[in-house]
Amino acid sequence: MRAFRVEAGSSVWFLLRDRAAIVSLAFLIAVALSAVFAPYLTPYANQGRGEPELTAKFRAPGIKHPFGTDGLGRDQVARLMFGARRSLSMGILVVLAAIIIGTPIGMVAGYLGGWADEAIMRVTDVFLAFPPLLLAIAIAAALGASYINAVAAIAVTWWPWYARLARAQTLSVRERAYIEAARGIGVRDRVIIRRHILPNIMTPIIVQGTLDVGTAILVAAGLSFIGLGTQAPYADWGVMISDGRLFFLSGRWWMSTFPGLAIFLTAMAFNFLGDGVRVAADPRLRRLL
Amino acid sequence: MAFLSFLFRRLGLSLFVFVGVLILTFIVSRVIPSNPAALYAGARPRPEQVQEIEKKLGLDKPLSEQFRVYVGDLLAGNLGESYHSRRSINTDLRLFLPATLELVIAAVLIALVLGIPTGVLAGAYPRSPFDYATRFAAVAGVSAPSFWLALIAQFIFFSQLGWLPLGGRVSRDATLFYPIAAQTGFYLIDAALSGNWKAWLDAAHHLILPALVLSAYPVGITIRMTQASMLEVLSETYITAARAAGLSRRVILFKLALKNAIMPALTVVGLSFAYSITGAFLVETLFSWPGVGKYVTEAVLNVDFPVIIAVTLVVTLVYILVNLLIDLMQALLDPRVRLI
Amino acid sequence: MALLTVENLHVQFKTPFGAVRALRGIDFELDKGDILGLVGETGCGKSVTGRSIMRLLDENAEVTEGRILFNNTDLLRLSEKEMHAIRGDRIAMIFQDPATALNPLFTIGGQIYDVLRAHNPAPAEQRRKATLELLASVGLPDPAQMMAVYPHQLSGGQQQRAMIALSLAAEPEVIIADEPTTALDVTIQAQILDLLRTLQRERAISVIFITHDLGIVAETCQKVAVLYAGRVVEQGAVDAILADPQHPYSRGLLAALPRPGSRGTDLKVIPGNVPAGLERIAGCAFAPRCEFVMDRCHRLQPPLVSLAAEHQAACFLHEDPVHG
Repeated sequence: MRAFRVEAGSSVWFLLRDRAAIVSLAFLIAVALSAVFAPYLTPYANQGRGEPELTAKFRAPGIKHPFGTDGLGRDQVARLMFGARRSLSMGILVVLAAIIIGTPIGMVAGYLGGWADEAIMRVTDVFLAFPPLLLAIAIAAALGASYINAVAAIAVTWWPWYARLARAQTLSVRERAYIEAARGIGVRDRVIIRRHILPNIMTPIIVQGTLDVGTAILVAAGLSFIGLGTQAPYADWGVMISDGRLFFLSGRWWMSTFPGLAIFLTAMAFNFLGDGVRVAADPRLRRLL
Repeated sequence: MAFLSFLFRRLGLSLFVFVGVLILTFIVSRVIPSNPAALYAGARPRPEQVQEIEKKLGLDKPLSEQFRVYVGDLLAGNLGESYHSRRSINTDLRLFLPATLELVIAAVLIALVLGIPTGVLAGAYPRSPFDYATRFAAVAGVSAPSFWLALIAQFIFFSQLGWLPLGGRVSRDATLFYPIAAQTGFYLIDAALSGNWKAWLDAAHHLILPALVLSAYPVGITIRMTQASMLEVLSETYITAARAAGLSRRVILFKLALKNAIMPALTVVGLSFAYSITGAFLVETLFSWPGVGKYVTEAVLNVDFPVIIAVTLVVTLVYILVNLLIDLMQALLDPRVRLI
Repeated sequence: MALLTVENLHVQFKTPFGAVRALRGIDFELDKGDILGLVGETGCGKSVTGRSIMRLLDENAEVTEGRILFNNTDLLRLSEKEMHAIRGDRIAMIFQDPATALNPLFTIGGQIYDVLRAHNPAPAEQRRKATLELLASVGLPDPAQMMAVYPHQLSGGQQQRAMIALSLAAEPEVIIADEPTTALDVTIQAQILDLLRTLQRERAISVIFITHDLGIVAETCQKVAVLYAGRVVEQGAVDAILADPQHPYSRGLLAALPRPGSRGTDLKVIPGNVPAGLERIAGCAFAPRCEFVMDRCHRLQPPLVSLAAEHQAACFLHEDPVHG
């Protein structure tokens, strides 16, 4: 028990020493707060929700509109803050859904082994045979273009990664003495999986999840960019880039630039944070890096 | 012998996966949509159009019968017809697929040429300024949305510097005065085959910017994986043994460690390919690149569902084949699989 | 005259939990033509000592004190370039597990050839011949075929023979053998020990033989140094020490050795564990496990004192005439 606390304590200590991870975490908290409190932080909350202001079209960045306005006169700072609600939530929902679908399936495969394991793994093979995004495009198109359908479409293509991860982790804890003991005294499989295996495999899954949110935001923005995600009058960052792209080279550069930067920095922050958590959670990596 | 059995096992797996892909795309096209006929009929169809489609696709028949017809059509090489243009999808793909593959292969090559040496050096000198800079660049590469990067790249290299064209596969001059005789559909190959070097240069010039943009993500992945596998290899006992035997740092890094590190790094080729294709779907429109990516994004706008499903199938088939080739290559390079 | 002298060697490892003191003042001498056994339990510092001599410690390790004299040159003061000229060429190393010490993607011949090329500028054809001779000299069958064979195609014993050939390639004066037989079957162990003894005699090589097995020391070595928690607690001629160990720890080790005719229950186990290395040890590191422990053992570190011509021990039992 004492040894465990030393381990966990040193992981936190290690993470705190990782400057990139700390800066990233601070940035992500700031983005999340500005998304949650967007209505109170901007005077243009209505425009953030999509209401046009036709008297202020295509304003370049200035004091009144630091990031300018778009073709419908909407303040881009407000649009970005309200867009963050959609982009962030899409990324997080995709990863959560993928974890919720993939983890139990992977645990069952790893725990049962044999025929069931083989079947489940071959199914994941099939899903992973598609280039990323491609299957999501097809599913999103079949479901119809919308925010929630885009989330569902991406999650359906993403769960196999978590199934594989959960399976590998389950295999490595399955043979541990306390699980053998629990089986020996007749504890039911379902209880063993939930009470003994799940807590022991959560760490790597959470680490992978943190790393994946950034990528999920990118993929979701991609779907929105081609018109399969968030629908007007609402916007996420992908939609904003798409809205601004036709004006980008003709001098009205601000409409696509800032949402692009928002995606870029947010994805980077999730990557640095995820890397930090991964290294902190794995003593072996600490030695290597 | 080990290789032959590996080959058959691996072929069997690919075949199995392909069958799975057929089933999954069938589910996506016929089971998930609440009204498949409406989807296949395109945007705002009239009721009689929907009925006509229903009959044509056999949507009134049981699913098993539908699947039989679906697979039968595909095996006969018939991918169907675009709702929007009424053209055969086979004809369209023959035109668009080479354009995308040319772009994607260029991006993969850039990713390998930039990513592998950088990753090796970063892994060889951990905690050096170069290592930190490289790791930062790698994270930046996998974090930039390709469609945004495309805009920025066009702004810099077309609008500001004027070095590279905005889009398209060749300039108008090339199409008018020295057109490329199409054979393979890969312009660089076709131009070279016919000795049309002016057109070759023109095509290469047009290829650079989109390929660079597409390579950003794969470069990041390649650097990360090469660096990680280099670190891993350098901590192996056989590297300590080589140092104890007095081999020079140069030989250890670039002969011994590199060969060990390149094996896992080969999987990076497959990943780079996959991510370049993903990128192509998002940026081809921005570069007016007449490939399957542009084809699909236009199909999305026109609610041209048959095209989306057909492209998904064909591109996935290509990806399966690429992965198969990579695995076989890896097996051939590894004496532990090759011999025994 | 000692060929290699290790004096007061201190090594520590930096870890997130603090510095781990792996070596706390190692002293020993290796004479020319001798086989010196370094013996002790896992974690006593015997492998770290070997790596220190080669200057191949991990990055987080640091030599904080001491000297390693090789032909009167302090290896610790050499530049990396000068040290590079010594590795393989004058001091070579054999590892515990040949399966991981040989590079899996290169042929045996190629790996030996690379070492030869690094150390002498002879023409390629001559190097090839030298490789063949080396392979033959370590008793590998059909050297010509061995040239083109990959490590995984060999048995464990053959792999270790190949590793030995590799270490001999540049005709070193000293070989550090780090548990070279631990990963092998017992019968193969005997063959490899035999090979090492023969080669050592024929080529007049001096060997530092790192092992946890006193039985192997008895068979193989002339001298032995017993290590405990990063210090030498007893050293001298193998015959003298095995016949009459003076340090309580050496006695314990010897008592734990299975002998012909003894049964499992006769084996004695030393109670307690090796100290972790994180804490500072003021007195004798073995004191908490010692059955003869005295008051001062906890406060003062007993020095190595000579008990006979070739026998030293670090224990207060042998300083005090009352207990002597």
